[in-house]
Amino acid sequence: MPEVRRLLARAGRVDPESLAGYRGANGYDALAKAVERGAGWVLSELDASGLLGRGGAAFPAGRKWRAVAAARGRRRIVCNADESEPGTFKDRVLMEEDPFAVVEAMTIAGLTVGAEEGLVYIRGEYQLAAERLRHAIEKAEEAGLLGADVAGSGRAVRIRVFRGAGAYVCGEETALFNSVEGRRGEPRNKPPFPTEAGLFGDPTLVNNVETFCAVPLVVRDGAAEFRRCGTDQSAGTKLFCLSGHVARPGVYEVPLGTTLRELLALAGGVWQGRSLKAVLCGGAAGTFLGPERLDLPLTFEDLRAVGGTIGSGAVIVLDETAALWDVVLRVARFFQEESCGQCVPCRVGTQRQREIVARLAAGQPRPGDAALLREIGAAMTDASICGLGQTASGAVLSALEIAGGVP
Amino acid sequence: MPTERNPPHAVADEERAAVDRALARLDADPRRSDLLPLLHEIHASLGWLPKGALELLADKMRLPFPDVWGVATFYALFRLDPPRGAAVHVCDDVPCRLRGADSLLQALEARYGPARRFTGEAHGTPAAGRAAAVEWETVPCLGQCDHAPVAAVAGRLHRHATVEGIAAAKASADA
Repeated sequence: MPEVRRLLARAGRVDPESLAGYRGANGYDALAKAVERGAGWVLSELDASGLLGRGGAAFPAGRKWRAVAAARGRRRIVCNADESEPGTFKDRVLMEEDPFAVVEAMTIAGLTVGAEEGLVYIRGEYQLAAERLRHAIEKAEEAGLLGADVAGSGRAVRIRVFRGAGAYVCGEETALFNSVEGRRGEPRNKPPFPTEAGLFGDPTLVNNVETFCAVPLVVRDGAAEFRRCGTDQSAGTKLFCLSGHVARPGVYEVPLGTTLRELLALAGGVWQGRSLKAVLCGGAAGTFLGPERLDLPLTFEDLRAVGGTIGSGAVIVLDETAALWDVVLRVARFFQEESCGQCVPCRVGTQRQREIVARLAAGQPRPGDAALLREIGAAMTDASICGLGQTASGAVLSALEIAGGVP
Repeated sequence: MPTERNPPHAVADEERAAVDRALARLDADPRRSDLLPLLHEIHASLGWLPKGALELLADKMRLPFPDVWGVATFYALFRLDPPRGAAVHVCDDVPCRLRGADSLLQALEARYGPARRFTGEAHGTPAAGRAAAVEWETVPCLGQCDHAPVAAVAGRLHRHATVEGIAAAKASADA
């Protein structure tokens, strides 16, 4: 299956600092249509598109938008650009190469759900992306496409860029709210969900950068056209980030349902003519898939069926020479270091998990280590309050599976 | 601007100026949600967050000092001790390690001494107690995996990083 460039239609082709260039390449067509057709139409189209969130949780975007649109009082929108999942760089590419698309999408969101205040939470290390976004916001304001009166709609939408400062957990939406509010970036208990009580306690729409960027496509071309790619349950295209032992690392956009084999082929296959040991699909919070999964269609439902996840779209490739347990150890260390320490299962579980994986990587397993890892993993998945702890054991336990037990 | 309730001790003039400059950029009295942007500003001016400056900031924001300290200590990009020159951050996460970061880290350790913050196991324990000639540290994924291995010197990215490239950037940033 070839690459389909929808989200990436302008990336690398249109000057990311030129509003005229953006408008000359279908930019702001969607906003004009959204203003003309109104919020109800946008919401129906979004529902019909079947767009699922691209940040990892795959929640139906239309349902989220409707919940916030139906809320009373002041509402807010937040673009989650805290992309910190190891092996993930698609949002960076979107923001650096097509920043006006992020701004246009958030503007449509503001008008549709009735929010005047928008915020992009961007990881502190993404300086170029932050600059490009700020520039795009400024140019959109100057052109009357953002600000007090958006495109003659008589409605206001404002967007500001807010920089994180190096904390993976702040990509969790409630930790993100605390971070913006000037508190430690520790997750809150849910419920209440952000659509009821989010940033500053207001109903808040939070979507990932890629999810937002899909919205102008749905609005401009319609849900039916959007659904021409993908499967019934996984509509549209998805950005995948190929890294590691692959010939041409990079971001590739393919219809959902493309197989892992086809995706790898697009990136030139495993490098140096070697064979595949495994891919880590979904980043540190994802799972390992062995070569027997090469013909698995990359959809939300197919990955779920094998206990995996598309997650953020990270696909880290390990060739036959890779030291699997060194990679697993790095992942275990990542979670131990990034655990905020607020809830016990995650704070202690990530520590113990790393200690055991360190033994396995050193070739010194103790009897019962595999069972202990499974027990710790179950405790973290069941009892951690946020996605960090809930996913911290996925890669480790899937490594046990593809390796057929402890090394 | 509220008056200082507890004049903090040992605030260097330079630190006081950095706090005042950051606050002056706000167009209203500081709110709690200004805290992280203010910390970014102060860190950018001073290269770190001195305790005295944080005490002063807490007073000016009418926040309890532990709240400000709790936020400042939460984030990896903030330093709480004075740096020795420009920050050198080298990615040691999975995608970079699969594409040459291991040998880059070894070369950096040979040239500069052990990393300031490093708990890596896979390629040996850093020599305990050996002082680093040049300060550097490893960091998790920088989101540049398509250009691995990567490093950041004084916040500027170096794709397909080499020890020579990092050393040159460090020398010129420190000059």
